Amino acid sequence: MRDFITKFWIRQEAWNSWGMSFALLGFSMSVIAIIGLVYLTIRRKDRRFLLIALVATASFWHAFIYALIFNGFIRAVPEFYNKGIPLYYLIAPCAYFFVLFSLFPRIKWPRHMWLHLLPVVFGLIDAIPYALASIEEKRALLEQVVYDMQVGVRHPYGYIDQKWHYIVKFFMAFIYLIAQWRLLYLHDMELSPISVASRRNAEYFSIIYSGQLLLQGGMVLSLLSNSTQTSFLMQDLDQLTTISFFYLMLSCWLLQYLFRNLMVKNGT
Amino acid sequence: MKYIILYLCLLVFGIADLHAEHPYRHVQVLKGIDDQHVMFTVAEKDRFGSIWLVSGGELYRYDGVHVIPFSKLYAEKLPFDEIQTLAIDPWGRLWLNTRNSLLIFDLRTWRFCFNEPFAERLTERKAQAFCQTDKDFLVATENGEVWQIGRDRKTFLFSFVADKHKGRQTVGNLFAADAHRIWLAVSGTLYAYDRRTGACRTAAIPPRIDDCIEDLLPLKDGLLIRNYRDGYYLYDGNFRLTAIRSTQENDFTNWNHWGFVDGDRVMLFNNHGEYLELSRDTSLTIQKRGFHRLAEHVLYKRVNAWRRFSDEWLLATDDGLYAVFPSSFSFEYVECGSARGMFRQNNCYYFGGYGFLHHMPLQGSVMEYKKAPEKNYYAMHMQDRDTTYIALESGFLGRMVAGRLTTFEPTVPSRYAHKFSDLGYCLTPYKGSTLLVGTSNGIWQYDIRTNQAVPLLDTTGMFFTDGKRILSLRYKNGKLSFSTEGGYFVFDGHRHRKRYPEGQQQLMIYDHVIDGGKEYLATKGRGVVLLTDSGSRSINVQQGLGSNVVYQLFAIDGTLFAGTHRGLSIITDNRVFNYRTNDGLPFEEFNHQAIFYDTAERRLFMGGIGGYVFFDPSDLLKAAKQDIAVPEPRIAALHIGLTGNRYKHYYAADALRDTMRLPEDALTFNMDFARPDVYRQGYQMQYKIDPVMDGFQDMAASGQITLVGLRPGEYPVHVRIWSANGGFEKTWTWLLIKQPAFVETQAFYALVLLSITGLATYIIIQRAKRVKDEKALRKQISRDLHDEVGGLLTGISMQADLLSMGASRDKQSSAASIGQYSREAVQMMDDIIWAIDVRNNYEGSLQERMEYFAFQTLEPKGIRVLFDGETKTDRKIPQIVRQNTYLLFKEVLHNIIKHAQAEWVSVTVRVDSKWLLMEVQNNGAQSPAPEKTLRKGQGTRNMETRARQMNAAIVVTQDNGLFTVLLKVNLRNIKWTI
Repeated sequence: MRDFITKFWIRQEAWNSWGMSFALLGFSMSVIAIIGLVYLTIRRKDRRFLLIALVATASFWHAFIYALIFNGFIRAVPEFYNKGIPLYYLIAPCAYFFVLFSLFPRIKWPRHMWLHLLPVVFGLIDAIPYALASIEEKRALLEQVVYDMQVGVRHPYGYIDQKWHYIVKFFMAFIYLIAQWRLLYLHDMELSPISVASRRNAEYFSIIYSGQLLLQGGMVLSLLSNSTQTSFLMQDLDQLTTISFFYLMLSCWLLQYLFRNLMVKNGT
Repeated sequence: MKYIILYLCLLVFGIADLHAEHPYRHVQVLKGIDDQHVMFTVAEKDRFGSIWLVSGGELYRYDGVHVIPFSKLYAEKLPFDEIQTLAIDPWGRLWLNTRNSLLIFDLRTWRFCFNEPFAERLTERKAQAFCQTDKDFLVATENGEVWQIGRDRKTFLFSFVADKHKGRQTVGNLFAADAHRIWLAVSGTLYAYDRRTGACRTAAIPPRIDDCIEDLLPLKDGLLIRNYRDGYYLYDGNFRLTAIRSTQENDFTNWNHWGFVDGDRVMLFNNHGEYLELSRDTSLTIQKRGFHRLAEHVLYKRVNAWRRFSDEWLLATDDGLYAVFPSSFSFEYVECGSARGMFRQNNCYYFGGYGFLHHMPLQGSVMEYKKAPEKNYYAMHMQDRDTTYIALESGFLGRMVAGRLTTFEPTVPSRYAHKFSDLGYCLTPYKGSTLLVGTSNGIWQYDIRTNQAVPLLDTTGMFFTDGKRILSLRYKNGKLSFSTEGGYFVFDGHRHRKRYPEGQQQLMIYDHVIDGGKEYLATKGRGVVLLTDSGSRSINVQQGLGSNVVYQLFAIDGTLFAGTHRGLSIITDNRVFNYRTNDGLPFEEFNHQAIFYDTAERRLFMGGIGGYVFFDPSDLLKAAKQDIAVPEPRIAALHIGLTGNRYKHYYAADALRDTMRLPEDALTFNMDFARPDVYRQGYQMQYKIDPVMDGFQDMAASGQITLVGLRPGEYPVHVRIWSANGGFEKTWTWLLIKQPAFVETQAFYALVLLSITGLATYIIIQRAKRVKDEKALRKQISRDLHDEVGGLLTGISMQADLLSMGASRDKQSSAASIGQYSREAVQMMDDIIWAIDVRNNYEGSLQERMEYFAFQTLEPKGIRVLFDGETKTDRKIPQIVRQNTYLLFKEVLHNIIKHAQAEWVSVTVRVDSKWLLMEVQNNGAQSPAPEKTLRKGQGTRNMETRARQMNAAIVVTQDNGLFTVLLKVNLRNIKWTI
């Protein structure tokens, strides 16, 4: 184990930072929440649990892989890298539909639901070149990525420039976010069968999710406007701390959402 | 007499030790402050690599690139007018002895020190002298105190009688110290302070010594005193003259009789290259005697001060600044003009070239050899120790036997006569009694026995080197290799083949050697080319070679010695070392064919434009491989350009550390790099800034790196020292951090996104609002219809049922009720329609409707109506406000009719751009009910509900028989939802 740590661990000085603490705490809570939500999805056959479980899983994977890259451990598991691209495209639509079905539980799935999955398919296709690369190539790439994170958006393992994933993903996410807030505006408690608590839950989720998205979007904008310093910005603990904090908030919300629904089931 | 004996002994010793090392050499650091000001008073080197100079009473800093006046480096007003001398303590502080007082300037903080413990009170006085050792710094003040200076404090050691009338400034030190004692010679008294006991002894210096006293050199048990008239005196309790002498008269007056203490030795430098190392004790035993290589013209310059820093001495003279330091290697030099080939015959070396040969015995000096005629002696081949063949450039071939030259005039077959060239450039023994001579037109085979020369032919009978100028020839193991102006070839006896370069490419190849199965080519333009079975590889300037033009090669034990156009290069173990004039070479440009290795003496001779140098190759290689103290690049200054045309300049060592943070408003950033010791070691500086540069590039001659328009982030600045002379390479890194301005932070971008998203959301919501308002309106209409009209219609229905059933006893009353209900329903319908009709949103509509309703409702009841309406805005009243205000007004009036016996009702409605105020007052208030029985009726609750729906405030008061309802609607903050 010691050899493993010695071999792969970099940026050890960041281990005691607030950003890393928030992230680790967030990971722990997210894992519990994901397991619980998957359980609820299976047991109750409720599409809201499925959607929020997908949001939780994709967000967790995103943050987890970032942390692995930051600490250098991704080199120990090169197969993990670049696998999350399609998953990340799921976060925004899933969050939107979660809010939709939370506020309007009687609404059916839209007729052209599959259109929301198109970016996921494109992401899946773009992840193929890296998946097919040899393990030596992957290791060589990750050896560069962990020290110079901008290689992560400049590597040739993809059909498009990797930065476009960030641009498209966040552009779409903001469109979904606006639609999400529109839902909250249109929702009328007097005409709705849901409880006030359910509405507030959707509002809190939207606030936390919006905050996280704004910070991540702010980071993407700063990366795009300062491309020479991509690596530095992606390692900047000041920036990562706030994003980690909002990830922790999201994890907290997921956990309380899980327990709330478990308690409802138990009638307490 | 004893001096004469001693002198003779020294002379004999010196001859016996002819090969003593040349330990010191000198270079000129600076010609002057500028071309017109070449006099330096004193110069000191600081620990940060810069040299501080005093010239003309002004202070300057030299960082290896620029000489900058201190007045430009120090932003505030200078606290001095004239600097007389200076010293630098071990902690990086300048001690400036000015005309008025002593000043201390801290290079780390870049400020003068006045109140610190080590400076307090000292700065009120002038210094008599400074004494510096590696660890100590001592100050003797003009009021007769000697202080030992520490990092943070000072210690008083002893006092002395100061010389108030001294007229002479010595170049040497009259204030000296070693680990045991501190010596001070002043006012005819010698002070000896024992550092262990703290005791201070004094001795009167005899006037004959004192009047010409110049320097003190501490010994283990005494003191060596230089008197510039008599020589060296020894003090070991008594003063006595030593036997140390120079060959020249009156040469004690300057540093040409210069001495210093180094470890356990006293080093003395005399005129004409004499050099002595004596034991540092009172016996003054000679340890070494030899020659130094300090140039005579430097010796005779007037030295104003010398200062020692590490192994180096800085000499401030009237004609420039010089540095003297130990030499890393000493080349033996044979000054014989532009050199060509050479050879050894018996115990004498003969050097070729243009004109007479030069000859030099194995031990001795070089001179012209006039027993042989003037010729162009180009290349040589030693057949044996007595016989050497010489390729003559004009004259074809000669032979030297026992110092006697014979030239040949070969017979050439008539069919080749027109092609024969007598310009011989190289030669090699060939088959039998033949020699091959490379000429300006091919290779000729010369038979010694027949004196016949024929061109070298291949098996087809072709003169395959016809038209080629042959530059080098080697015949070994039946294989001939040769180089020309067009490339490198081999000939196996049958046919020739071009080995390099491939194809029709032409490349001048001066020389070639074969060592360990590898072929090395000295090329003109590609450096050294290594040919192997698998191909070729160049070793050129990029790999560290002195020059890409290589004239001569010699290989021994896997090490290649190359004489190039710019110095001597050694290639070994994939490393390249270079020697140039800075490293002791008397010249840098080597010559073709001027290379010779004396196997017996293990001397490699390499000739160039100034003659020959010779050395033991293994010694040179050993010296080259020694770890060289790599000069560390330093940042001499930082200049930051800020917004608003402001600039900040940093010179303090503390501000120039490894990590530098740029403020967020920095626009430009200049780093001035010093080039420490550049006069001692030739090196190149290269730099690279991550992530904006892909590779290293040469530092500008100004040593300045300028960065403009830096975005926030981290910029590691790598500076690599790339040696031209020693094969070393080292990289240092500074980290530059540009702080982001707020508009460059993630938070700002998040806010931008929030604004954009918020705006988009607002637009989307505004569009959705219409849908939502319609929905709310429908809800409101349905509620009103249900609440208001539905009840009336129910009443009408019930009365109609009673009538139809004939159950009603009072049919007239029922019919009246039906009529009343119907009118009220019509009124209600009219109100609802009025409320939802947007055409009634114009200003004044509400007041008209209210006034009409008030008179219609109250006057029939005998209640007087006072209506006051005022509108101060053109703004339309929102439908939700108009509707709720009107319905609330109706509720109030109904309540008055129902519950009050009012005689009059006053209604005031005022509308401006911000507020709608409605006050309804009547005098039908009954005495107020007790607080605890006060209960809100349905009407009041309805009014409050309506007020809340439009985010308005309603106040109901009862006072002095007046009942008042006050409604206040903020028209700018209307509730969105109904």
